[in-house]
Amino acid sequence: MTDRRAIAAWLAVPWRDRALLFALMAAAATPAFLIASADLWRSAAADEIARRVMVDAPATDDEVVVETPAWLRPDEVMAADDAARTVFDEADSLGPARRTVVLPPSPRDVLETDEGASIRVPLRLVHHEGADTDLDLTANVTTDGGIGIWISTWLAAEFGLAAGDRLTSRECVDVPADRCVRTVPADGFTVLGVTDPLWREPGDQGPVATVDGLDAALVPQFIAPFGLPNFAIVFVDEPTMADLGVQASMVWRAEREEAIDGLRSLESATAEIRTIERRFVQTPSVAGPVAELAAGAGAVDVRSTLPTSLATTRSLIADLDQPFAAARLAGVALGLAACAAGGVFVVARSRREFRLLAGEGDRWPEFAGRAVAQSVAPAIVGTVLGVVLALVVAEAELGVGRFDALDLRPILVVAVVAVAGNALATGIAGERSLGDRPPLASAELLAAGLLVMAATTALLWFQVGRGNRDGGVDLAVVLLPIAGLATAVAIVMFGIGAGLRRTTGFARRLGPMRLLLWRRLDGGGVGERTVVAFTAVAIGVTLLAGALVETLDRTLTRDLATELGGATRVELIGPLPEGVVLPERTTVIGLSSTRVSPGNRAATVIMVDPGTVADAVVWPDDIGIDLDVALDLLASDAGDDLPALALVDQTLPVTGGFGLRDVVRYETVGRLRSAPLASAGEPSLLVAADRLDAFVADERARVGAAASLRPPSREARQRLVSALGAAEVQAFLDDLDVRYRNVVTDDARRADADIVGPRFAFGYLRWLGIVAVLIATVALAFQLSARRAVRSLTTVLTVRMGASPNRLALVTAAEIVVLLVISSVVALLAAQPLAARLLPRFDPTPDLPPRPELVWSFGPLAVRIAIVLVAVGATVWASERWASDRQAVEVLRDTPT
Amino acid sequence: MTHRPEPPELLALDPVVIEGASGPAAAPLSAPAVRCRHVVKIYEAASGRVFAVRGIDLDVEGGCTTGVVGPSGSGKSSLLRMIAGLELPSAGSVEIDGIDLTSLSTKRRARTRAQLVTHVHQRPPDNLLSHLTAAQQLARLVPREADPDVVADALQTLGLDGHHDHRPAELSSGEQQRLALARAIVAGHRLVIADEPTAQLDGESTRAVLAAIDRLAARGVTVLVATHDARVLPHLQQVIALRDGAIASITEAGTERAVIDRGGRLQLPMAARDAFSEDRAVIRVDDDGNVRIERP
Repeated sequence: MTDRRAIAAWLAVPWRDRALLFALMAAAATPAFLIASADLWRSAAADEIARRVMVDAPATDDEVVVETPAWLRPDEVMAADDAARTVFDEADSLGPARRTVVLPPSPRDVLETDEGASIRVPLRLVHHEGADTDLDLTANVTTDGGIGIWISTWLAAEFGLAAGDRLTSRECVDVPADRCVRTVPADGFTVLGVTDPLWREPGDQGPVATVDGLDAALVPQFIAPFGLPNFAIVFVDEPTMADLGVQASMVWRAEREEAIDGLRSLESATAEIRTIERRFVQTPSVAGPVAELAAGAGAVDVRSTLPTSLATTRSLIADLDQPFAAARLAGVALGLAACAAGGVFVVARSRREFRLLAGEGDRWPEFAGRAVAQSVAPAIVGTVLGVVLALVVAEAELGVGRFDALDLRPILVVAVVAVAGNALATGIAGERSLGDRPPLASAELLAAGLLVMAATTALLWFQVGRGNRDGGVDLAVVLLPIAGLATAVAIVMFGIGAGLRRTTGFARRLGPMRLLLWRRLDGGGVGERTVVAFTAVAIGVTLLAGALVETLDRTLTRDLATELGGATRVELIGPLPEGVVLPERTTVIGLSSTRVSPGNRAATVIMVDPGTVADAVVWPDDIGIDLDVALDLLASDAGDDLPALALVDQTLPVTGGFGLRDVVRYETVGRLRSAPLASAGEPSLLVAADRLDAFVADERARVGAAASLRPPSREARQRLVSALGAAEVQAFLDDLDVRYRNVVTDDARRADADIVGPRFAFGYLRWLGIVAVLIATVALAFQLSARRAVRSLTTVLTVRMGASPNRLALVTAAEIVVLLVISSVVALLAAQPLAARLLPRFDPTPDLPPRPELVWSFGPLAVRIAIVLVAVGATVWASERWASDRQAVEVLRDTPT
Repeated sequence: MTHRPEPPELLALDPVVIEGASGPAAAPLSAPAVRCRHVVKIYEAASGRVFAVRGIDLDVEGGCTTGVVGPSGSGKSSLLRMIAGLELPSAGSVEIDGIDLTSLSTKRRARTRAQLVTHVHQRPPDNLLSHLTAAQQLARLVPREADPDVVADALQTLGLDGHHDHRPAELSSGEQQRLALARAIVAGHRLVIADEPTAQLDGESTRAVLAAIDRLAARGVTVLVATHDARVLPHLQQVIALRDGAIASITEAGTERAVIDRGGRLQLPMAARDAFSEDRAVIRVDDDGNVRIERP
């Protein structure tokens, strides 16, 4: 017969007890925080991938282009233009649309001037909105009538035209005769996105050149059959164009005003493009005028590569699922462990109530039911707090504190499991609170547990090694460091306990007070020991994961410097034209597979251009020597030999010869740990291309070889390495009509899931370690609080035996801190072989020199450990001081029977 | 013979009557409220086995107030916990109102406990739920078919009628213990087991609690009290002294009877043991069947 007030009072129990409330809320908040953090870490990784994909995306991703065939009639043009602009105006991320109208190139038109001069020339009339403000006008703008055409400087020079001159077009393009030359811009092609190479140096052009980066309809063909350019773009004002009545191509182009800085903005931008496409095709108010403009000449084309970029990004992100799931599982495990710790505290805190209710006949279902009723509200609040905290921290740390990045289902499932699990455990604990005390953990039981842990670690050790370089991040990878560290720390803690017990006889000789302290250290409670061990394992995980993240970063940078040489590497199929001027920060590196004698060993000779290599390549510090020093060595005098740099750890003769047709004698003048484009499979020699060519030329002259033979640097396989992006490099090569393949960029490689996955997983693991340390510190405070009565008894007795409360508190704090220091040192030592075991699995290009070496950041970690030690010490000290402030009678009355 | 000072927890009641082995173990005519047979309790500890109770035979009549006394570690609490059904004996049987607790499943034992027994712990706060008022503490124990006024009645009976809405923290220790005893009234329990209920009470509170126990006894409730408190003894009809896990003596109506167990072993009261400094005695049985214990 329980009234509502009693039920309400029952439910309000946790809200009256701050410690209980904190424990219940923390037990729910911790898993929610960790799982939400995993989602947010994944979101950060996805954003990073999206950003890297967008770096390599074509420049056209920065704008949206809609093209439609059009019959140039004023009414239809204006109607379609108004409708199209409405669509662009409603797109949030796009700026105002600008319209370009292009006529097909005329086969050969006739331009006539007022003076009667005429010339046959292929013309392309273009109207470009905003041209009068965008173009760099080299001549005065005539105010005559306000209508006219813009011609190129070449055309002006060819015809002797100036602003105000009348110009008539006949035959193919019918420009009305009353149009005059309004102005002469110098950069017409630039405004369209390209530079007309004929504009300044017509004689430099090859027979046919294609300008990339321009819409297909706008790409002009530069035909110069007699070595002279005879093509011109003529900018025409809108009324002129609209009145022509001919078929053209109409393009609306809107620039993206918000940069794509992550997956979300990429998705949003892509969705916007799809919306635009839908409106141009399906929405009558837009599709109607546009269709009328096209008059059946063709369909609207919304051009963007964003959907492709998004698909690429999503594919890369999907590869993160496995490492993400494995890492998140560790988070779930830690969260549930924290949750269980909270449950243990709740049980300890409610022990008195449980004994009473169990004495009255309550069984586990009643206990569990009450636990659910009492913990649901705090669990809800705790879960919400955990999620909010994760968002806040992720925003501060990663800049991804977005609610929509969270998958709430696992958070809710774990919250329900946690509440149910704790309720079940509480029920069982409640029912058993009256029963016989459970047998204490015997030494044999502990030893068996340690054996199981050690066996698990061994199993994981071999499992991780077996999947070397192929397995990526899986559960074994995540569990190995945790299991390994836990085993090492547990063995040492077990050893300390056993050692202390065996030396109790010695401690007895130290006197009663010291004996008490000794016993306290020995039997300080399984709870305190567990928390200390947990803290040490967390510190070890933090160090290990941090070292792996840092090592992976450094190894990746070094490997990419070896593999790519610079930001972009292109494999040239044919040699570059003689005398071509490379873009800035670009070089060409030659590679030649050859044999080195003595020994007849296969080797790769890397030929660098000393003049351009320095600005183009990435030269990490751990190559061993500075680039300037290396170039000086390559330019040094080696007598009759060619100076060469060899890689350490690679056994090539210090002096010898390489080459098949031309044997080059070389002398090793220095050693590097790696080199740009160094071979993965065979030893490499680095030489200066100009010295090599000169050497070979001299040799050929000496033996009277044919002068037509090409120098070795041009015969070698050529790799263009540049600090520029892929688009610029490709544009350069396309301009030259040089064939190439395998364009690889640093950003694209870094977006690989094989690289992002481990980095994400271990980054998250490090995060878990830091959170676990915080949890452990709080848990220690709660553990001390839960064992208050027992500790108070010991404390009061010790104080009554003559110890000063302050000293006692300090000694006790020191005991815990010493245990923590010992176990942390063990964890740090154990972390090293574990990290060394894991690292080879994630070396992105394992055969490339140099071999990865673990980077240990002991400095920041030492600071963190110091903070933890101070926090733990202060917690214990405060707890002990509080315990010793109590009176003996009060303590004895509180002591559980 | 050197006379050692009497430890405060010991009872020195004279004269001592030594009964035969069939004494307390013999079945009374009416069924006792509590019956223990050969009860043994062994705890497993890290240091080895601890024999807390070594084969106790005991009957407690219904409505009787019985005290269990003895030095710390003599097995008082273990015996009472087994009688309350909170623990099972390692061997032997415990019956309450004719129900053998050792034969019941955990669930049925818990139900039986809930139906029959009120257990009062030594520390007053241990007997109450801190978040409920006095009336709520009792109301939750009232069976559905019971008179709703039983709570007020119980509170009035035990002198707590002004404390209906008081939480435990607002009650004195004596009031808390009386409230704990009141649970037996509202729950209709026939057996109250109190483990040193006055240990943490001052004189006035102790008197109030003892009065409450008397009122319970007057209602026919069987009360079993473990105590060190001499003030409690006059309120008890029977006192069972334990030593080393076995019954040393049973005192009824001012007569202390030593007990001979089934193995023929006799435990002397401490006062009598002091007379035998060498732990040796001569036992003589005269022609009339009287037994005399003499110093060798």
